[in-house]
Amino acid sequence: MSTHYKINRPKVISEVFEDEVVAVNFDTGSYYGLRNTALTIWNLLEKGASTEMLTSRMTSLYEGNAQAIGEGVSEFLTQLRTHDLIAEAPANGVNADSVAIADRLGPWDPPVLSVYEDMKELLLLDPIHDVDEQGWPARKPDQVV
Amino acid sequence: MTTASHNLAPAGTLTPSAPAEFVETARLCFEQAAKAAGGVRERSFRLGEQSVLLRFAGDRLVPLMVRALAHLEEPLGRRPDLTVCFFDSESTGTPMPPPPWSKEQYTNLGEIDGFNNGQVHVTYTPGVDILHCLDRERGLAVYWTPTFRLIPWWEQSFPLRSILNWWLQDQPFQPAHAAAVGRSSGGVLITGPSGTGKSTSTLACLGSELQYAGDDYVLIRTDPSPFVYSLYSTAKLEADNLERVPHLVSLVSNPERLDREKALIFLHEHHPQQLTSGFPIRALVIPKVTGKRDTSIETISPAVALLALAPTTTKHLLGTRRQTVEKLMRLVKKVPSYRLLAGTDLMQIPVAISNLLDRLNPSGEK
Repeated sequence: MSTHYKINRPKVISEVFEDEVVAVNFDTGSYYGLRNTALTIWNLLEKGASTEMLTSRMTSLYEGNAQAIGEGVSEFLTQLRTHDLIAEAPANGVNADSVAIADRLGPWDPPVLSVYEDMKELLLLDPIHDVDEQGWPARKPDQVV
Repeated sequence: MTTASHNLAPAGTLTPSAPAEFVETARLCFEQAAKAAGGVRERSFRLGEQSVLLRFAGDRLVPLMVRALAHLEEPLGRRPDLTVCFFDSESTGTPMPPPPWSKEQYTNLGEIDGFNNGQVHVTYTPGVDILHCLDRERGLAVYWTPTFRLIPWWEQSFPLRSILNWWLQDQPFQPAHAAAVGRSSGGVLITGPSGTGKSTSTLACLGSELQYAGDDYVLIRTDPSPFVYSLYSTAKLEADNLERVPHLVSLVSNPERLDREKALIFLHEHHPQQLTSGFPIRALVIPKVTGKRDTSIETISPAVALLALAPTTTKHLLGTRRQTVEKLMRLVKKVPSYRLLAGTDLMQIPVAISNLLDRLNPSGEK
């Protein structure tokens, strides 16, 4: 059975810049860049395409082995879900063929999700555990500024 | 020590008015601290398009907070848009009352979970023991630390960074992790993560026709047209990079601490004529150190520029990520973006930027 997805708004926002989409997950502070085949898949997801529609449309848009394209789409959707950029959604009656995209976009390249993390190292910081008699965080003796 | 009177509920029993009451309590503590320390010291600064009044309890924190802003100082007397009160407990003998939140509410980044609202923003920066709190409706902020002795070196290079970020969150202004050089008719925003050549490229422009608005944090305006305002006159360089700019070595303010601090230069004290309060933004420039001799510039997509500018900005400016990203998205759509392939012959860098500005400004206005 084909699954439908939606972009995980409002915690995810995205913006199209010429040939690339930049998406931001505000829960994690991670930024993502999507180009080429990844951009096409994202645009189809924006329109509510199902996995079946995605594979079918990508196979018609790109030159390549249909099985490889199907596997590439599936792996990419898994990546998007892992990063919480998309979520399952009810079927919406969208026909991906109706989404306007140029007829033939060239040879198939597996889609790439470029990840830029601004928060990762900060989230590893040691949180405040102890407070002094006034209730303010207590500095550890070995803390060096 | 004296204690300010306050009516805060015990930790864990927060009322909707507790955040605003906390800011008022902190302000009352500041007033007591000022009395104990011999009075209030006031200094006023023009930051972007706003007047910001800094009030200090005694003298101790004044030099730490105003040195980087000295080029933007204005006479006292203007009605402030924002007032920031600074005090520390050690030099004033005035403690801050216990916080109305519990220790479990501190996040990893020092924000207070469940306490901040649209009006009040509070953080207690872990490890450096600095409390920032802002009541946006009152245009009032309080900066407190238990002791002035533990204020880290970098704080004096970008004072007010967090408070300005929260205060301006709903306005078309945004502190950004970027440098800026240019002419009065327009210039470039130079950005990218730390270590990509931002400061070196910017400092290479000292002595050229290009004026300097900042090398680490600047204030950008996104609407109605992109503009950059200087915030800090400081220049910061990794000690290892000083050898690339030998003419600046004698200007370093902390030469004895370069084993643990970046080299810090207060440029208004040495090159006041080269500082500018701001200019229109004509382009975004992302430097990349190539190791080759020559410098060149190539076009990049707005997405690449956004991914260079936004993560490095939101990394240290907490609590406003969505507003910040949306403003930066608007900015990168309004101006072209370029990669500065920075060579080892630093003299070529200002020439390349000047040539770019000439191309972007066909009217020839300098």
